[in-house]
Amino acid sequence: MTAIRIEQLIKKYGQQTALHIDHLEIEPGTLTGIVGNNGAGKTTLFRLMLDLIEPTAGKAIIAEQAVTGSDHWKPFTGSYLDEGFLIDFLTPEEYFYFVGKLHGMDPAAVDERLKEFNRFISDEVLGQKKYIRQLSTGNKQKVGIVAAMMVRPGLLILDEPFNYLDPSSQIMVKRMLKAENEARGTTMLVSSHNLNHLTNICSRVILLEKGKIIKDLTPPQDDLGEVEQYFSLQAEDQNTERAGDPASDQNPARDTNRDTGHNAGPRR
Amino acid sequence: MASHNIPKILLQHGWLSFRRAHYFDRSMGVKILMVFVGFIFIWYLAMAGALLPQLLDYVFPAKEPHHAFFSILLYLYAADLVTRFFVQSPPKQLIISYLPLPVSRSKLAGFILLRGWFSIFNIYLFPLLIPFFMRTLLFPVSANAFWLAVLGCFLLGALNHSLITWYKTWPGRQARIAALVLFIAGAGVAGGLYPSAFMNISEQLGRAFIAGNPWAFMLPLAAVAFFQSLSKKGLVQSFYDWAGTGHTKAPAGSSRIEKFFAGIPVFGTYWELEWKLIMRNKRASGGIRQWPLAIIGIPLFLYFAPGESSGQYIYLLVMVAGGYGFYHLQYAFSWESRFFDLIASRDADLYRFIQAKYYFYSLLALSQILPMLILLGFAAPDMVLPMAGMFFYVTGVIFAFLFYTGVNNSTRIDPNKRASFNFEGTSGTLFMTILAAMFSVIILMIIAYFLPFRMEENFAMVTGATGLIFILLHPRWLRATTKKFQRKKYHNLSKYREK
Repeated sequence: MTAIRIEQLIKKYGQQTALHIDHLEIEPGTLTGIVGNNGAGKTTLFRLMLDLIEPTAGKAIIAEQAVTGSDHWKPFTGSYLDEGFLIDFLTPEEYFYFVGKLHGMDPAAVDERLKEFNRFISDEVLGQKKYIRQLSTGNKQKVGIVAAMMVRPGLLILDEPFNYLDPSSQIMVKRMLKAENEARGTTMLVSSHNLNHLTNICSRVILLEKGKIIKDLTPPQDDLGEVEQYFSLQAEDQNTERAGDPASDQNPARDTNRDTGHNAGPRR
Repeated sequence: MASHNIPKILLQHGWLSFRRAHYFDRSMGVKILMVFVGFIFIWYLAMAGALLPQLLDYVFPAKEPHHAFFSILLYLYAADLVTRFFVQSPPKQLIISYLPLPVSRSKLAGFILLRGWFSIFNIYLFPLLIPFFMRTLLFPVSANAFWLAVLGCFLLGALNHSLITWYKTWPGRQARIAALVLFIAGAGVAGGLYPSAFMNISEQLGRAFIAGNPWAFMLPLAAVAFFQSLSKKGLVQSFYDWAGTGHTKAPAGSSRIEKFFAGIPVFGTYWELEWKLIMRNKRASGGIRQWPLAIIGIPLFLYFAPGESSGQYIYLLVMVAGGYGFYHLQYAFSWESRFFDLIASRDADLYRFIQAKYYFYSLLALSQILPMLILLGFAAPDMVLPMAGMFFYVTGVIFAFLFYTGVNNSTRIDPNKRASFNFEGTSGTLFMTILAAMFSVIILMIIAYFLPFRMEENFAMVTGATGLIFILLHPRWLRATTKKFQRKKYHNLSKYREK
């Protein structure tokens, strides 16, 4: 039995296809990484899996049942995609209690469970008498990750969990995911821009580009170097395209600004 | 410090923030409707101003209308002050984003204070005052008296503006509380214990205005200057407080009412969340905090209000009888727009969520209307039955209507932003919904007209019975609302996600 199955899943916005996956199966207990450039369709895929957007065609199936219009997957699924998953007028404690209550956990059970995340969140998040809206972006990210993991889900979906976190916290997230996956066999789907993070923990890495799966690798058997090579080539192509842009010839600084968001000089 | 032309830049930003407000993102239909509503409001005030001389002549037959008006002038501006207290935004909302700029803070504070004068509160009374003074001063007395009266009223408004600016700017909490207590005590003594003396002072002030007595202008002007300088000092001193991240005043779960809600089985989780949503956001909490005043104010208004039938206040009853819920449920699901992804992807039952919301606002309305009914029993006994009947009608029929049509309103709300009128969550559909809800009572009035008892009793029976039927049938329309929401879920969620 597969944990997740995707069949002919298509999501279009107008004429533009954001995602088109013919077939994908995720086995139970795997920790799967999704990589891809901006706009590759990672978040769209997750939103489709969580029934937050309607597929144009096809279906995402969790536990042998399509998610669209169904709630059967909610009791065993934990997820955090972005700040839209946070209730920002609650304190982190209140938010954890609320999420815990939805999953049948009483406050004492939540407190007990939160102890396991003490090192990850304690000093900066808990007991601060701050609402979530007053936390830094990194701490909001931590609250979202903990709320998703705290309910001991059978399926965990995290979109870019390493974003906004300091290096120590990034390492802690990796360890927590790995430990939870190994100890409880949680099926996990994690996206990231950073290949190194996924290489360290994932038993499978899927490369998405322009809404399609272009590589499906299982490290360490498969060499992730070719994924890195793929992104390098992409970057080279973009630089070459820009070099041919007449505007670029006239004003190289403008070109660099468009690429990086600041005037940092040419990038290779 | 850099020598940029900061006043010019800030003025441009002020214009851009107005021009790029959510109001202008609406469809042409909504814009036309809003202009229409604004026009109606101004027209209503202007007509009230034009007809006020007759009313004053009727109430104070021994006095000239403008003298009679001057005797209540201070009451009018006391009411204006109270309104500003609840609704007028403090200038700090404008300043925070400019704090890191290389500009002298004093200069920045000065300009922000100047910009604060461009406020609707400094002009909204003039559509009423100008027609009134035209009829009572410009033609019968002199043009000079007319302009001096307008100037005097502007100064009283300016004094209120400066007081509120100071009150909402000054960093010392104790000084502000003392000022508030003094104001309430002063108003109570002046208006309640010695009304004739207070009215006399008020009339003398008005007479001094039109006589061109320089002291009548100098004193308010000096007070304006005094409070503006205090506000500037307060603005500069408060910079660090506003730039800081701040802490919540109460630790998690410390409020008794939150604990009470949390302990209720089945709906407790949702009610606790609903209560926190209201009380921890400026827009929603501002709305609910006005209710204690409304509970006292509405019976008082109906006690003094002229009229022979309750029918003329029917729309007031519609707006009041549903309590805070009538306002809140106009944006039914948009309040959760910023975290609906969480609700949709967690193990939360949508029907239970909507059901809990309905019970919450019905019970809240009951808690607000009961004390009002008791006061009405003393102040305006004829209105008790119509108000009670309307309570059932609003919590039954109109709430059902708001819930069902609320699914069509997919606009996003940021409840942290303070606004007395929420352009962000407004849509053309919403406007039409509210109008339809308000006008629906006309049908009931027609039915009541043909029943055999007194109009008040007939109306109470018709509204009460209709409302009760909808209340009893609530599981049906709540399920219909849930199904409709499921159908529109993806569309609404995508709109909620738009920033």
